[in-house]
Amino acid sequence: MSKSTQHLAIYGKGGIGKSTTTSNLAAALADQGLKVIQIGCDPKSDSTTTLRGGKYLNTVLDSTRDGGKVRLEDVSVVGFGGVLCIEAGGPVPGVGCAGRGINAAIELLRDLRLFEEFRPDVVLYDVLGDVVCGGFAVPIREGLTDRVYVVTSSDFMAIYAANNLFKAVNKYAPSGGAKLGGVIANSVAQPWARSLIDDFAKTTGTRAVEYVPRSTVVAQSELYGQTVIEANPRSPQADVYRRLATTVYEDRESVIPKPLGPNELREWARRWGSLILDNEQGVVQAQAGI
Amino acid sequence: MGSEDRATPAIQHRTAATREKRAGAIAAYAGTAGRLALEAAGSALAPRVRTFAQDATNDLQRALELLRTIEGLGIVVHGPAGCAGTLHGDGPAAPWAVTGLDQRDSIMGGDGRLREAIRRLHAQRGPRAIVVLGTPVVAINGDELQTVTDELSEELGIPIAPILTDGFRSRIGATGHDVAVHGLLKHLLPQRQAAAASRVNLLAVAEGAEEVQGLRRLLLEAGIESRTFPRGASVEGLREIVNAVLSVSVDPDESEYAGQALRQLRGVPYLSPPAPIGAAGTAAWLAAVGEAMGLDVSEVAARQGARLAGAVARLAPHAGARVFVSLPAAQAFAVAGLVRELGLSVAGIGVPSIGPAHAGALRAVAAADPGIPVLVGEGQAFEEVNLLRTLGAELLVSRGTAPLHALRLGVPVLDLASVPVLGFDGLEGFAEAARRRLANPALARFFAGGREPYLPGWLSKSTHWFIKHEVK
Repeated sequence: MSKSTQHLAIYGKGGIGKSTTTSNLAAALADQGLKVIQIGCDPKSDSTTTLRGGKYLNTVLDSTRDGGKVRLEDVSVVGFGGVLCIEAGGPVPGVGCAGRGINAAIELLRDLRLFEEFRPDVVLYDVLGDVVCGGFAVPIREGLTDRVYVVTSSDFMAIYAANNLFKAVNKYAPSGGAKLGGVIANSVAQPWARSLIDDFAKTTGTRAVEYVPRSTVVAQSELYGQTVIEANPRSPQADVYRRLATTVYEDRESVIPKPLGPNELREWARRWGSLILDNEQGVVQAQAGI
Repeated sequence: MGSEDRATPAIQHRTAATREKRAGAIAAYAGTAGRLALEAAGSALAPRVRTFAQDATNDLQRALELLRTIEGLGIVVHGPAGCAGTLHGDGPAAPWAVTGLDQRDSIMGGDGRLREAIRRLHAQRGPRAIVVLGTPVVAINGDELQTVTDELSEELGIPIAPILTDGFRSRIGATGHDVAVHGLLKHLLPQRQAAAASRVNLLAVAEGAEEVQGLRRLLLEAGIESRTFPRGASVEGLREIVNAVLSVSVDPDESEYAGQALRQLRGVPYLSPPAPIGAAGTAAWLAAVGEAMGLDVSEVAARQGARLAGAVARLAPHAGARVFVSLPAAQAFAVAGLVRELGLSVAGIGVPSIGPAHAGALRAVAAADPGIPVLVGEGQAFEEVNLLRTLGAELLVSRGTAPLHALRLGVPVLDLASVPVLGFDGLEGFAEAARRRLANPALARFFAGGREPYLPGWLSKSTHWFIKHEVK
């Protein structure tokens, strides 16, 4: 593995926009002339869809079905901007063990000498939802990735999931696991959303690395089966993703987060609930920040 | 099980509860009978854990040992090849297959392999019914056995039962007996037609075929026909099992689940007298069955009992010899009684697990000698060696477990797997086997070879060194 290669894991609550963010990040990094691999670590196998422009991609675990020899070209396809797209795959819903699947797929990719052969500048791991079991923590553990980024909105359940992910990072980082690069605030729409996410990041000892506004450009690009970088390269939204790409590639600061305990998180959320209510009712307090 | 009858009967549940839950059993204790009897007299036995454990059977092994004795039954183990290891050991040659799950199956699910294994076993060996046993791998990855067994049962036209063993749910291997019986009765049992006039079910689970046959002969002498279940039953014979007039326990602990389930499912009354071990025990057992059947069996008991005086007399030179009894609880207490009946002394008792149901037996042992050591746990050779040395035991009585540690210590072993102990015949055989071993200890000393099985540092530890109260 090249020493200069950066391995970055993107986590976040299901449906929060991880794959959209990761794919646009990959496209923006590639747009800057970097060699990028995106590995979808989700049995749904839809992480790289907008990068592939509809090209078929056999998943890593599907390729092992017949027990024959697997080659890199069987489980990867070159997408927009030269991004090498890979999907780990997994069992159909309701059977098997997807967590073990992530583990096995990454092991196989290492055996295939993916990183030595492709020599990427950046590898992005787009990982399913919460760290529901040890298998989904594989990209964090054992020094596989350099940094973890957590995508969150200002919804409490997304913050709750982010806090859980911080617990996983906190657990593995001291023994060589990845540290936290920061939070990517997604679907920022309300005026107070940015302050809420900033406050959560500050309270847990981290930072927000970018604020991605809610935009119809994203939905429109996905309906075309493309990233924003490809479909709307001159849009302000594309610039946001480019800025995010620059930050995560150049700013390599990372920390071990300090996740909140259940009661602390509940109190923090309640305080924000009151602040938002006051804001809507026009109550002005000093240093409210919203 | 009285309270369960008012709620959902246990047999209606997905699978059998663990012995820990069903019988409140514990699997770790080392101390005196007096102390344990006091504890058992209270609200519940305190759960303890071992901070170091050597070996233990699990539910899958126990279920396989039992199911392989059923004639006409095919066995499919759904797991990695090693999970069928038990079937390589000595025992009846039931047709079996293992799905041989690999890394990929553990991730993607192994339904396909299971279907293939069932079809092949059916095509090649033609079993009249099939059981599919779960393993730790499928318990973790969530493979649903019953979906496949229902589907293939319809396709192949034979009953196929899922047996939901998992290898880790219980610390007590005997849970596997209950899980196996649960699957058999829930999925393979025909409907009850009419009770046969004088036929009873002998509910044998862990006993040897020969000694169970001895009990059947005894019952026949009293005019009672019998069939055994589940051990040594046949698929066709299940029809006779549901139509029996009565089910009778052989070992009250092990027979309990089958007896209650047959009663709940098909209305077969269940009788659970103390085990038929020793002259007094066997006479009491026979009398209980006779009474339930409306027959006077006293003449049979008297005739059989009269011929046993010689067996006891032959052991007289060894009167007071110290015997350590290591058996499942109900059998252990009954064999301890037999040991005393024969004029020998009980040096200590080892049981794999013990529950509140044994409070009375414990109290009786403690009343005679409150300081008698009791060791609870299975496969803990170090603890047993430690105790055998301390007690200066002259004979170890066990069943089926490899007692190499005792032989290495120079203690002769009487293995009930090869020496039947049930009934009047059993008393005679047991007495003669004990006499031969006590009269010829040289063979055991030869096996020992003069070397201790453990280093002095280990042997200086107390028996209960690794047993701690469980903190929850």
